[in-house]
Amino acid sequence: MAKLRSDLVRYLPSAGAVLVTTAYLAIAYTYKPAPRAMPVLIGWSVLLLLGLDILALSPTVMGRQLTARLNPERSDQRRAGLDPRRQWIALGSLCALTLGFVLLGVLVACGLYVFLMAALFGRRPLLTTLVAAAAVTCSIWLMFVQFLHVALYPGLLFMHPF
Amino acid sequence: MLEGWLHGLQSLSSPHELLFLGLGVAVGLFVGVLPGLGGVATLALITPLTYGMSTVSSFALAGGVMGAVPMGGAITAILLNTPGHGANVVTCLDGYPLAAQGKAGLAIGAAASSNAIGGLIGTITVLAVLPLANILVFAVGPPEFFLLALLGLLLVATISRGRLLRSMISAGFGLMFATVGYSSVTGGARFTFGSDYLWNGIPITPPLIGMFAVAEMLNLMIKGGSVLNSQTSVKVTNIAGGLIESFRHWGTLLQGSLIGTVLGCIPGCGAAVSSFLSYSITARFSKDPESFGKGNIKGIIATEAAVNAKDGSTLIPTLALGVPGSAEMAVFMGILILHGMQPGPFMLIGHETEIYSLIWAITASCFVASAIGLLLARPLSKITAIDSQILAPIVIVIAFAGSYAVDRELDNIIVTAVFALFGYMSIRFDFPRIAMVMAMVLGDIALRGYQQSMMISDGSWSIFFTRPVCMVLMVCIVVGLLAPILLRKSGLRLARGDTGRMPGTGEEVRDARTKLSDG
Repeated sequence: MAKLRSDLVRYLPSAGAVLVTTAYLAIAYTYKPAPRAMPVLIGWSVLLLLGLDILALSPTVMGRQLTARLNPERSDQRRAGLDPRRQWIALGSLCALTLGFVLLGVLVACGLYVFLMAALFGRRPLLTTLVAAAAVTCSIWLMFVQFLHVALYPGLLFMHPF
Repeated sequence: MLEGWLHGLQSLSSPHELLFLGLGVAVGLFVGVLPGLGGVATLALITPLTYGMSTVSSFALAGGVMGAVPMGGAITAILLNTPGHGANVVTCLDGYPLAAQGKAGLAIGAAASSNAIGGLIGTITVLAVLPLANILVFAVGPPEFFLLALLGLLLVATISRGRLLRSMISAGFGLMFATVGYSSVTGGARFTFGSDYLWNGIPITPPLIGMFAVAEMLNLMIKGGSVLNSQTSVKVTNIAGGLIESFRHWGTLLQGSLIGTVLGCIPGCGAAVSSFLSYSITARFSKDPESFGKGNIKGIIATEAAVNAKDGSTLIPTLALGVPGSAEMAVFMGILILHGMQPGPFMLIGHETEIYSLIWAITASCFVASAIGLLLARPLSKITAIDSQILAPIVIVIAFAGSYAVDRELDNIIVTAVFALFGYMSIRFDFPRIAMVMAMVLGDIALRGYQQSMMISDGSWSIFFTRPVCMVLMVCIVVGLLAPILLRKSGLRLARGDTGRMPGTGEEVRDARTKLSDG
């Protein structure tokens, strides 16, 4: 069962790419002939390549031949012992940072992200993370606002104070 | 003409002008290090500041910025895999692996000397060619743009020779992203979903920042450790060796400079295209192409020489024809107009001294920026040993702030985040990111060039076979495709895949089978 799951996981990236490309083609076909010509050509080409990639992943003779000729150096980092939990937390934190930019603004989100990631995810000493967060927030303010005169987005929550 | 060169140099030599040149270099280096804010945004910011200055002072300041930004971007590309400037993406490919091997000094030294020499070759070419510029620029049109972009796309395969199929898939996705936006040629918006932000297509800077800076830092955060491999030392040595490497590989240096110079003359071919093509061609015809992307010093030399050579030659269409040679030149034209100068064929007649002082300013800033970059190499290289759990979040937030600052669009942050996820998935599942980025940049040029060519020729493909520059590009494409096959058949040694064996033999299939069974 574990091997089956491992095998299925190997096909996931290419399968995901097939879904995205199919969606791209479906949308492209809703346009008029002239604007859709190039997207359709590109979409079908990518689908063909993804088909070859999925075939190359399969434990068949043709799959091995394709890998040997077209992807001999391909490697999957999942074999490098990466902790899935750390991956999901890191990727989730990126989404949270993006939301933070929208709600809290650039400066607050930057400082908060550095503090939380270094302290909670990285498990570094609190004082070090506080200093790092404060330093980076001040640096961004100095660099962009004071020196380059680029106004940073204040965030939805701070845009219209109560 | 010689008199004009000398007068231009003389006018730049006063302490007052040199001060502005130094200020421009400092600003350019500082901005070059920050991801997102490149020469374009910086020039736009300093344009109103030049209002009260003399023309030569303004040109010294602007020239200092333009020449220094690529060097600043090269430093972060090498140390953190974070391109500060769009063109420095390619520098990441070999610069970052060298830094991880503890050879950051070598990489920065090579980048500095290539920057300086490439810039010098570019400006010497400008000085010689400027009076004849209109012949060159008018020879290039949509068919040439299409073939140039096609050449670049075909060379994508060279960049990741051992992962050709995945490179092509990545490039395909890049082309898919390139189709987003309103097509002025065919009419009609594609994949904009009603968004004004996407009307002009996906801007290139936020995806670059996301895919390289943020994705790389995410990967570092998840893996732990530091940029530096655990077995290597943070000591920065051999900077002088890096300086000498550029001269040792003088052929690569010259080739990169010439490619950057030629492509810089073509309006619309930015620094990214020059660096991509220079790198691809160097890798393609190298004796050991599989070493590119793993810390081959020639990869840095080819890229940095092309980037800085382009800086000078973009002046050719800008000054001679009033057609901006790059996005930076488009902003620089604002400075020209602010000082009562109208770009075009008569510029050289009325403002010869000022124009040549600008060219000298760009040249001088390449050398000054390289020298300062070398001085900062040792302290900056210590960044590679910083704990990733502290470094990565800091670089990520600076990258996002830079992405927002490009044009103060909140949507830039969302695009950066989306492409960061793309970039991390690409690292994780081994889809070369550089292929996607190349295709995004070149795809737009290729699509527009093809569609315009078909309109000009009423749908006839003969347009690609009847123009002189097109014929030259066709030959380059054919040579690029056939050369490795012909060389292999003639018995000359070519670099092959990771096994070093002839593809398709039993040994290589057995090796591939072994690799598959490991998974």
